[in-house]
Amino acid sequence: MKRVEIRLDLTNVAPLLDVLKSASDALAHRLALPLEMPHLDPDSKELWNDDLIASQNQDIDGLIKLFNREFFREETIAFDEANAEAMVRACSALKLYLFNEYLADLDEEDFESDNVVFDVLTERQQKPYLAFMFLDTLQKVIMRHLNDFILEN
Amino acid sequence: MDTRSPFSPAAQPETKSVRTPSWRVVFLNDAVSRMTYVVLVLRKVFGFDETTATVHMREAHEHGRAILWVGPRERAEAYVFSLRQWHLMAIVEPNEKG
Repeated sequence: MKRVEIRLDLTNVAPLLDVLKSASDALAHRLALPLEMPHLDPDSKELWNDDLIASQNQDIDGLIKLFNREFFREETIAFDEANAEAMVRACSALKLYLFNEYLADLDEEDFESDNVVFDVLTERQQKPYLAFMFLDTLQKVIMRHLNDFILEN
Repeated sequence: MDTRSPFSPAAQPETKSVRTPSWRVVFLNDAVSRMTYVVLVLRKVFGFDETTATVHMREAHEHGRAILWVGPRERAEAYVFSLRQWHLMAIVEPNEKG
């Protein structure tokens, strides 16, 4: 089984874990991306909503659990064929939440091209932005190394 | 007295082909999902090759939306559900607009 280990600097990552945990808590009963399906009947919409929240939270729980005691000891997290798909989805859910909650007023082009100037961010935005970029990097690394496994799974 | 048989050719029902209304899956661009991620998900969910997925991704990036698939409603909804599991914004709409 292909396994990708990522060594992280605890000093930089530890402060971001609080942001990820509170994002995870905030998403416990709602979708990162609100369900907008005008053609869906109300019963189906409710079913979809429940199923999507369950799927979203299962993925996010898996990601949060990577930052356990072992991580604080080894400063390493690992991805493999078994968890890659869920971790990539979890990164997306948390990124969406952080963007919509804290970063939505940033210039979209700057944001998409990674040209956001950190110093212009408000204090409220700084840690969520760093957490967003951290998730974005994790997602890129997983896709770079495990793309084929995600497609074949 | 009307002597026409009810079974005469004139009385036979006309055969008409009934079209099942088709629906389409529309992918909507967002500011958060990276291009590589969108391509991966479109390949995964629809089985597109990389070129086709990239064309759809670019279309959505440039125009805000891209039609990914047209067909029966049930299947269109199943595709949208899958895209939503990957946190991509997609909707189902009747395939009648221009």
